[in-house]
Amino acid sequence: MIRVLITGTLLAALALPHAGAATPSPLVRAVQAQEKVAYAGEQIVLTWLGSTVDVALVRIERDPSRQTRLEYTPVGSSRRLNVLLQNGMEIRYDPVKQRGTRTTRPVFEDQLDEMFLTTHLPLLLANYDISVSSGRVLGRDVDVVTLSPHSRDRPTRRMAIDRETGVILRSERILPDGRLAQVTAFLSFAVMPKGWLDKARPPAHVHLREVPPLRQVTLSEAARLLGRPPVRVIPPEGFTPIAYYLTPGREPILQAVYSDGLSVLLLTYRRGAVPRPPRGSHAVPGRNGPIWVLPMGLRNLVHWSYGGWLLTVVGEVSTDSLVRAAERTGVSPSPRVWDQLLAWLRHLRTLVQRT
Amino acid sequence: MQEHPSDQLTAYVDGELTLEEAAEVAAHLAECAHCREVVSDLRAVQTLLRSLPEPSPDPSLLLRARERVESVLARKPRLSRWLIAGAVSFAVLTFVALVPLSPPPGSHEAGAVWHFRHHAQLASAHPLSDVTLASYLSSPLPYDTLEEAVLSRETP
Amino acid sequence: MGESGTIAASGSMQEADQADQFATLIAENWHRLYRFAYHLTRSREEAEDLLQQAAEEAFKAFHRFRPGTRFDRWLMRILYTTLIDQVRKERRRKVFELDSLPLSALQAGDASDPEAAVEGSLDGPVRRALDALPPEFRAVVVLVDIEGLSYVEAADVLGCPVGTVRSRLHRGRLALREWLRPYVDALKRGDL
Repeated sequence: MIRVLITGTLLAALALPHAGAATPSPLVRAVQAQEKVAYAGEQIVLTWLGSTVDVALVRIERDPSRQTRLEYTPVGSSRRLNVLLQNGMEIRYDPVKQRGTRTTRPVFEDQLDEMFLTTHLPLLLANYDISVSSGRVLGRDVDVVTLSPHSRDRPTRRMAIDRETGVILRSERILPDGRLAQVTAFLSFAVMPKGWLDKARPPAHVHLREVPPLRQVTLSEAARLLGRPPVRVIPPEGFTPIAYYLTPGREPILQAVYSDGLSVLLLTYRRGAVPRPPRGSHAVPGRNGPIWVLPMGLRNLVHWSYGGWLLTVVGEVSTDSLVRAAERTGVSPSPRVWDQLLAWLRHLRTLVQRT
Repeated sequence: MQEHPSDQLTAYVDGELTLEEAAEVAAHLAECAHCREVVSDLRAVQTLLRSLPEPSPDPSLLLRARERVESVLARKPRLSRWLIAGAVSFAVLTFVALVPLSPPPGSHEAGAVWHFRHHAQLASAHPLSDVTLASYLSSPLPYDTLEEAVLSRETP
Repeated sequence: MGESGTIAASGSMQEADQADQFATLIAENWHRLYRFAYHLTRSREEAEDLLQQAAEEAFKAFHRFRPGTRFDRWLMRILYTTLIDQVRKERRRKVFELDSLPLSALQAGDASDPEAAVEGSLDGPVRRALDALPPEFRAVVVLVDIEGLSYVEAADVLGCPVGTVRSRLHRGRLALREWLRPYVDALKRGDL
């Protein structure tokens, strides 16, 4: 039933004419490439903060369903980072300090395109405009896909997607005022045959600490474990809650994850009355008290307290938008999802009454 | 002296005997007032039980049962799914489930970095995310470089 | 802020489909399942707890359910086994003998008040008599006399031989007869 609904939405969305729009097939190919294409290359990762920019070079060797190896060399620093991603396991370590962590992650590579088509893409279509043009990167033909948000408080994403393989060769995030905030780009790229990587292991003398994964919970479980239901926060336009995680311990922390189809917002709840503003943040007067703001260019952090909760939100959204969300804490609008739930319940009762 | 059928009387009342067995019981009943009483009692008890009113469940119970069921799904260490606006059912949206970062934000100093790292980890769940970027931003590396700018309160 | 109950995790589209199917089946059989849980337990709260617990167990075992077969019976079995597990944990190894259950399991007032029956408030005494039965006996009586199952069907749900259904049913009904003696007599006389 859901598939029909979703496919219907998708088809309807695709049928609408946009100026300069094309079918999102480069996006779909980009998603499919993640599980299909093996490659080796070097990337540069640039992150702007005002006039400061952080630069790192990454050597990447990828063989889907086998292993992905990343070796980071931040420019202007002696620190190093190696990452091994392999079918459910992530190992990251500093090869110089010989220390690192190991954790398990879920395997989802074989379902990525279905997930994307049925879940991410509809939300994305609802919140972004898509336009496609042609280009060339590294001597290869690419589709340049631009995702422009309807809401002017978040970045535009531009991707150069290799026409032959679907690999994203270059990815940019551009702030609403037109400034570049983040670039990830291949400096060299070579397609490799699948199966080319044998499974590497970190050197024996590297000490790895096991990191337990966070626990995913339902909202009601979280309410139970925290002692009361978390206060309602209305996120910026287009964001929908998608998951909740709990950090257990003496002081449980709830992480609520929101998405608008492309971008992720993280809202963290802790019990407490006295705000703990992070270093470097400054306070702005809010309706219910001060709100601390820490702008980091692309991703911003906002912290405030409300009704015995300490709340922190991080997202690729402007500080203004996040502050507005903070001010709307505790306000109860008519939550769409709740109405849908009640409608479902009523529908089920009529079903039951008929039997 | 004939033995009185016991269980068989109940089965007789419910029509759960074979024709042969039922005929035997009927023959016995014709001659046994005691067993006739029992049969009559059994039927009366049945009537009383069937007269109980239909109980009605609390309207929120179905919803609570659903939450219990969903908690089963939540305990599995796999993906989570998203709720599409307009879709009403158990179906949920897909998302990465596990965030392998552990210590909670302790001091104020560590606080912001912890949040940014977690955010990066979760953002990596999106199929269009950059593999390299996610792993990089969820490590402490970039924050060393940016810390100075942050501390000098530079705003972009 | 997010709303409860709508967000959950599942491993695949297939698992969400399973959850959809399960939800539909539960909803279609909801009243029947609630009635069974209600009569199996001693209070509304216990019924709700039992039903929720059983729903969770049932969903975990849903891969074992053969589509096209009776979902209500399948879940009733799980309700029953869940209840029995709970009861076994609570019991302190006391073996219930039906004959030894005191008549005072019923409140004296009910037993001697056929007037109440005439006014139509039979529910109280009958319900209490049913509650007084040990769960194994109560389950059989409920399945056959209230849910209308045949012996074979009841045996399926309870996971016991048909002969056991028959003997438990008989003894259960006879016990109820004792506890509801005034009403039984009134019925037979034609007063009810």
